[in-house]
Amino acid sequence: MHKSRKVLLSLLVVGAIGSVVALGAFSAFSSTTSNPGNTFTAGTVTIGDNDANAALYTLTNQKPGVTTDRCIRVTYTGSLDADVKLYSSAIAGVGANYVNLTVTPGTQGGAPVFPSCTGFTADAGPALYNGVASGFPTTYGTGIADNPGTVATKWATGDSVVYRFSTSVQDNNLAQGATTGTHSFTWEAQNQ
Amino acid sequence: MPTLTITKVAGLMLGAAACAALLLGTHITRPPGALDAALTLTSSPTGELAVEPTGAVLAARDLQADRPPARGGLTVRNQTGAPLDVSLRARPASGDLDDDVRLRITAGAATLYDGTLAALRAGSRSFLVQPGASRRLKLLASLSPGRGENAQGRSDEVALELTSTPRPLTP
Repeated sequence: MHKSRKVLLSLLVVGAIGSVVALGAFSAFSSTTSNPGNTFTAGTVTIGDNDANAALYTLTNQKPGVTTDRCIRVTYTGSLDADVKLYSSAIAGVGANYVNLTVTPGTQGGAPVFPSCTGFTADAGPALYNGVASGFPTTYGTGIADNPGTVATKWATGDSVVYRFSTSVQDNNLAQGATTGTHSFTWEAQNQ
Repeated sequence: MPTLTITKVAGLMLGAAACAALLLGTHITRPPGALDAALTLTSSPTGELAVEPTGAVLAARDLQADRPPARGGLTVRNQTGAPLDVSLRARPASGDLDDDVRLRITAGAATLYDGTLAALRAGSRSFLVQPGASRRLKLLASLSPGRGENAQGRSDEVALELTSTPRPLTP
């Protein structure tokens, strides 16, 4: 074997041994842990009713002393617990001062169809609102808070309440021919 | 010299055999059998539609390629005063079984949907429910062909979201 080849081979062997020694010298114990599969999904606040965009009442030629009842079911399907308040758009027109409005929460058995009140049972306690239409609250801040049943403190997924709207015109000559403007009722849910 | 060469070759072969034995010996073999996929379908009422039952409408803890489909169902009732066109959409919690599970939804003789969970995110065909009327929906869930391996050990809870649109009353 050539002298230079021997030297080269020796260097190779020394290098290999050096690598092994270095590996031992610089090695260290090691450990890791991981937390896989993370996701984030926001909750939802979703409320609906059974009106299919139809008016709760469109009453004409009403006479004093006759009360008309109409019912609407409000259902909460959001994932977050929520507070719900009821308010309306401004009920304008001269008639708004002569129309009595009572809103009563309750339940409804059987298979009712909007806006029938057949099978309605009022919850214990007073009505949510009992006064002239013009005085109905018009903002969330002043809105009427209500929870399902008599003991709940929130609306949770699947909760529903039936609201009976009872309307009548006052026995007052000034009410003759008076009409209210078109108005809407809103149930607004906000998560707790 | 030939003796030394034979010894070297024998040593090399012995070393290779030892390495192979070591590799094969430490290989973790796959356990027999397969892990099942688990799927739960849930449904909840909307303002316009009552649903029975609420919550789980199909619960399958053992979906496997070679087993019959899991069955479930729900009844949808229109509680408005207008005819409603109703459809369903899938809202999976994780999406882990999106492409693995095939779902079939029928209402009577009509097939509302037949495809993967993933495609049901876009919605099913709609069906008409008259005011006060109910429709019974049947659900069949199975693993899509060739997806059994992929679905092993996976699970998902999928909300079937009902959407409805009032249909104008014809005079």
